[in-house]
Amino acid sequence: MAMAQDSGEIAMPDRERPAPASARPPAILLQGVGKTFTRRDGSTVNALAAIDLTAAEQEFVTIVGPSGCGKSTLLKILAGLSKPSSGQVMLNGASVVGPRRDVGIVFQSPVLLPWRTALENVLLPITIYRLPMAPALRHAAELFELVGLTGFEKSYPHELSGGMQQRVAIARALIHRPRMLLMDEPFGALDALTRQMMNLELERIWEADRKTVVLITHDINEAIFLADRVLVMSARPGRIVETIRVELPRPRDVSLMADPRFVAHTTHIQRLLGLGAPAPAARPGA
Amino acid sequence: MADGASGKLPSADLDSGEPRLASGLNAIGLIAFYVVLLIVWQVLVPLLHVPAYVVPVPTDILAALARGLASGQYLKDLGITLTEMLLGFLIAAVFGVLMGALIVEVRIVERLIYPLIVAIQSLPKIALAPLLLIWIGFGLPSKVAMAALVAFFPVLVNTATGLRSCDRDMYQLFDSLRASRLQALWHLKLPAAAPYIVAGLDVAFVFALLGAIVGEFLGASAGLGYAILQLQFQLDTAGVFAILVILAGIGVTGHTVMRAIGRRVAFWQAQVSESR
Repeated sequence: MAMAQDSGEIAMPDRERPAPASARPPAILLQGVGKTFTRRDGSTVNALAAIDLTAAEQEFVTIVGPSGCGKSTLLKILAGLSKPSSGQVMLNGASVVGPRRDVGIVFQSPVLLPWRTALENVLLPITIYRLPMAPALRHAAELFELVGLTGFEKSYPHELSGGMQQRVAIARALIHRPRMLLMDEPFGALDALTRQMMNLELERIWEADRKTVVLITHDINEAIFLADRVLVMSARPGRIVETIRVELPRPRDVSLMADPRFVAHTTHIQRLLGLGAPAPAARPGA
Repeated sequence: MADGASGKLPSADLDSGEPRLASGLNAIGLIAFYVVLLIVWQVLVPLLHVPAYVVPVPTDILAALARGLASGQYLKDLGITLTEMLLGFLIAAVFGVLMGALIVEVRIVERLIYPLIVAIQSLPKIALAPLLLIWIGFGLPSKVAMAALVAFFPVLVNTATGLRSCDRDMYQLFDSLRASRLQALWHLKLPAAAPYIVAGLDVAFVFALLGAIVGEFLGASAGLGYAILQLQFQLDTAGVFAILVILAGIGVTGHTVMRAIGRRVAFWQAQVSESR
C-alpha cells in the first residue's frame, strides 16, 4: 500500500468520518503521472512531469498555478478523459482506464445543451446512464434548492446568466450522486463579484454533502478559500512545487480573507508563483 | 443571489406592444408600395404601347387566373405538379438526412462518397433531366426523380454541417458520461443539427418545385410546367403570368411553413434559420 507515506499528511476535519482513513484506499492516488504531447512537427512538449498526489475521501483539494502549467491536463487525466504518458492513476482504489460513473465533472464553461431546460440538462447523466427517472427527479429538486435555482427548472440556458448556468452545471455533476467532484476552473469565466458569490455557494454546497473535490483554478484566493489542501503548480513541465494545508475553520465566509493566516497563505503562494520576493524557507501556517 | 435578477426571461420584452405596432405599420407600408407598383404597371403598359403578348397588364393576368381556376384546368395541373414536387421533396428529405448522417458517422462512407457528391454538386443537376427521361420515361416518376435529385443536395449538405456543429466541450461532456455513439447522435448531434436540417429543407422545397417544373418542360402531358409551355405556344402571356403567380404562391407557402417549423425547432438558436 502506497498510502502509508501520506497518511500523516491527510488533514481531515474532525467531522464524522465513516472509517479511519488508513482502512480505506485514498480517494485519489497519483504516482509519477507524466504527460507528453507530440507537436505536429514531431517535437515533444512535456506538459506534466512525475506528479504525485493523494487526496483522502471528503477532502477538498485545490490546484493553483499559472496558465499553461498543465493543471487542466491533470484534471482530464483524473477524469479519465486523457491518458497519462507515464505513471499510475487510482480513484477509490481502482485504476482509471476511462471516465467513471462515481465522478462528477464541472468544466470551464457550463456546456449546457441549449435545447434542454435547466432541469433536463441536470437530468442528462440520468438519461445517458439509464438510471431510474423518478428518484432522480426528487434528487434534482433538492439540487436546484441546493444551488439556489428553485423556480428556474423550466428555464432554457440562454435565459440564465453565466453564474446561473454554472450552477446548473454543478447540479448536473451531482445528480448521479458521484463520490468525487472534479472542477476545471469552474468560475474562470465569471466576473469577480459573481465569482466570489460562487465560492461562498460552493463552500456551502460542499459542507452540505461532502464529496472529494479537486478544483483547478488560477485564482490564489479561490484556491485558499475553498481548500483543505492547496497544491501549487509550476509550468513547463507542470509539477507540484508545494502542498499547503489550509487549517482555517469552516464554514468559511468572506471575512476570512482578512484573517492573518489567510493573508500569509496568499503571500506565500504568490511568492511560489514568482510574484514578488523568493519564497522563504519556513511555511506559513505550518 | 447576485445574479438572480437576471433570471427574468428576455422574451418578456417581445410581449410588449411596441414591436408589433411597428411591424403592423411596416405591413401597411409594404402593401401600399406593391399596390402602387401594380397601378404603375397597369398604366404604363398601354401608355408605352407594349403588346399584351409581351407584357400583359395585371388585370388581364387576374382575369386569366380566374378563368383558369374556374375551368378547373389550373387546379388539375396544380395537383399534378404538387404531387411531383412533394413526393420528390419527401424522398430528398429522407435520403438527404440519412445520407448526411451516414457521411458524418461512418468514415468509409465519407471517404468513398464525398468526391462523388462534390462532383455532382458542382454539376447543374438540371442537365441530368434528359437522362432521367430516357431512363424513367415521360410519366410522373421522372418528374419526381428530377425534383428529388435537385432537392437532395441542400438537405444532405446541411445535415452533415449540422451534425458537425457541436463544439468540443459538448463532446467532452458526453465522453465523460461514457455516452454511446448512438446516444451522442440522438441527444447531442441530431438536436444540434435540427436547425440546419430545417434550413436545408427550406431550400429543398423551392428546389423540388424547380425540379418538377424543369422535368415538365422537357417532356410531360400535364402539370403547371406543361401548362406554361402550352400557353406560351398560344401566345397567352397573361395565362403564363397567371401560372407564375400560382408557382410563387406554392413557394411562399412552403417557405412560410418551413420558417415556422424552423422557429420552433431552433428557438434557442435564431441566427441559423435566419441566415437562410
